[in-house]
Amino acid sequence: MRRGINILLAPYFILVPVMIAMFYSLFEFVFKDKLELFSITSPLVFCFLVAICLLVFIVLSLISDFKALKQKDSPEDSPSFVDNEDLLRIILFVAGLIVYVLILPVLHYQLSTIILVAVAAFLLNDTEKIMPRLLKALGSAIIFVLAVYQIFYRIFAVILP
Amino acid sequence: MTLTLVLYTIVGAAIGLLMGSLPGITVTMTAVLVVSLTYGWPMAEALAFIVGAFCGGVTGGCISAIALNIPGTSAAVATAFDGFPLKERGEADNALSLGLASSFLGGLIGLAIMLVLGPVIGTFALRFGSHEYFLITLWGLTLVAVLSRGNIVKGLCSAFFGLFVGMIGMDPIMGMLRFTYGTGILKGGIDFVAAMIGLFGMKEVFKQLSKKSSFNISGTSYSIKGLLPKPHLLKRVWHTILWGGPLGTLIGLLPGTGGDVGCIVAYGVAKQVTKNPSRPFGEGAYEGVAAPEVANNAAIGGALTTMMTLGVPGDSVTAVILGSFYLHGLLPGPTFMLTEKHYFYLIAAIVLVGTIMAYIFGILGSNLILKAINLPKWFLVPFITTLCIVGSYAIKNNMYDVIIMIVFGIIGYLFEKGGFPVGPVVLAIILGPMIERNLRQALIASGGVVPFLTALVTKPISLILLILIILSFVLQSKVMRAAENKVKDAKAG
Repeated sequence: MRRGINILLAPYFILVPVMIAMFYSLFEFVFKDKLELFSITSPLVFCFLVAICLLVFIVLSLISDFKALKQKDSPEDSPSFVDNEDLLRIILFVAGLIVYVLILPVLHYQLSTIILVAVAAFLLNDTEKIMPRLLKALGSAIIFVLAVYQIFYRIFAVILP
Repeated sequence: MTLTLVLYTIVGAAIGLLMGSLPGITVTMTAVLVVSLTYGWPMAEALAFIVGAFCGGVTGGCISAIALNIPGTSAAVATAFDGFPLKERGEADNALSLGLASSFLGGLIGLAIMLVLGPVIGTFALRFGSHEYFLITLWGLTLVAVLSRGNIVKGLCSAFFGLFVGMIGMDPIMGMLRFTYGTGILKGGIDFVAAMIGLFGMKEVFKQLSKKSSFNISGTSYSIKGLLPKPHLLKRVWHTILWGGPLGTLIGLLPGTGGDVGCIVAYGVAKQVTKNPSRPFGEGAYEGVAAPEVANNAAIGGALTTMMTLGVPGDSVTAVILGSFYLHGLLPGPTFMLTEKHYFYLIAAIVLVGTIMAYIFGILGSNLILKAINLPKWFLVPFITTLCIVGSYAIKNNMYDVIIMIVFGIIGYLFEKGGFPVGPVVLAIILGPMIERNLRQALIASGGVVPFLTALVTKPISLILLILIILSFVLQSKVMRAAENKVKDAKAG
């Protein structure tokens, strides 16, 4: 049996706060800033329509997902099921990206991107021994980052971080 | 069309062909990454690069569909139904030769129809008022039915989430700040290119992290001689090409439908009308390769015509291209043929060069592309990540867009895992401000909600548009449901 979690309901942790934030903002505009909601010239009329529709469709979708969760006998067969190992890999990768964003202004594009690419390549290549993995990861990172620099900066005139 | 533009188109077509053939890297993602690179470029060069990549990407989809039974793009889904069985029979060269030749001919048919219909639709569109403008932009949102892949409620949730994202920042009519919650980062709104790179590019990186193995293409190789056009094969499928091209263009012309719908419909029609196929469909019929390939490439001309003359995208790729046109100061829509007619013909010339080059590169480079498909995950994932970072940074040369890109990558991954399609989010981010502006202008012009609603059903053009919107939403939902079932059956078989 696969170990992991079903993240079918995860999008609601984004959608529901977004919907609440929309209604909160509309509430502030109407009651604090005294803007009209139901006027044809109001800048809030479209926002209100969108907020109401979002609320309705979130509720409908939540109901059907709860039903689906109750009916599923083997949740690991669901496309929304994620292995613990995969989840950990994704969390680590996101953490790596956050560190990258933080160190980029200090180390600049070339050095920080070489580190990011090399670490990612090393961790993802789990089929070889450590030394060849390390050499391959480092070598490909240096060649790749320098190639990107030459192609994008020199040829396409794209400013790099 | 200058030599420089031809060169930009050639490079775009080559990149598009390569990326479009890689399973997991969609044409939409290719278009997004390509658009992000063109920020500082002159408009014509940027258009050449982007449209060239579009032509190459659609053609490239058939390479992996035939070699791996995994379409490189959604517009090549039906190509795999007979292309892969042909490869299994030892006719990989014949299958790809036919696929590339059909793509090429489809592209040319679509272009010819685009040149004829573009000015006609453009002239008609000049009669549109604010109500019709609103309905036309709303028509683009019917694409949600296609992108939802069977779950309309979740598709609509995604679309309304996208509309919210599109509203962040300045109100398009009065300039009032909305939904910024006091943060400086949101004052300028969320850049749709950063969001798109996250939703299509970064999300794919997270998905690839969960996949265990890379593809196995051992035993497949193409010879350049074998990929050259074969008259005996083309003679067998000429009638399929003759009706498949106009059918694909017609489907591409409809707002909300593009190459992915075109290829599936053409395959279905081929099964119905071909009385004596070269082999039974699903077992390597040449007609089963020619029909979807000719239709998906012909749809390019149709989709670009609608996008330029009405300002409505045919699919998620044209939605991205529409956004890129705004980015470079071009305003597709009913007045496009009046004010920017020369760009219409420039884009037609780019499509011609892009189609020819995609065909040539397809013949010369397919073996190399097969090697690229076999690239290990440890190389591919950091490669795509770096492109996403560079692409999002290039938008305004600031790290905020990189952060936004990563956030939308996470949102995209979670949405897709939860069954919420990400295509409607992007579509709504792009179309949202236009829908809002046109709705509010129409409301103000009508003088109230009731006169506005009355005008929608009493003005002849508005009424026709309203009926077409409802019809296309219903038909697209049915076609996509049938297509989903077909793909599921094919996978199970």
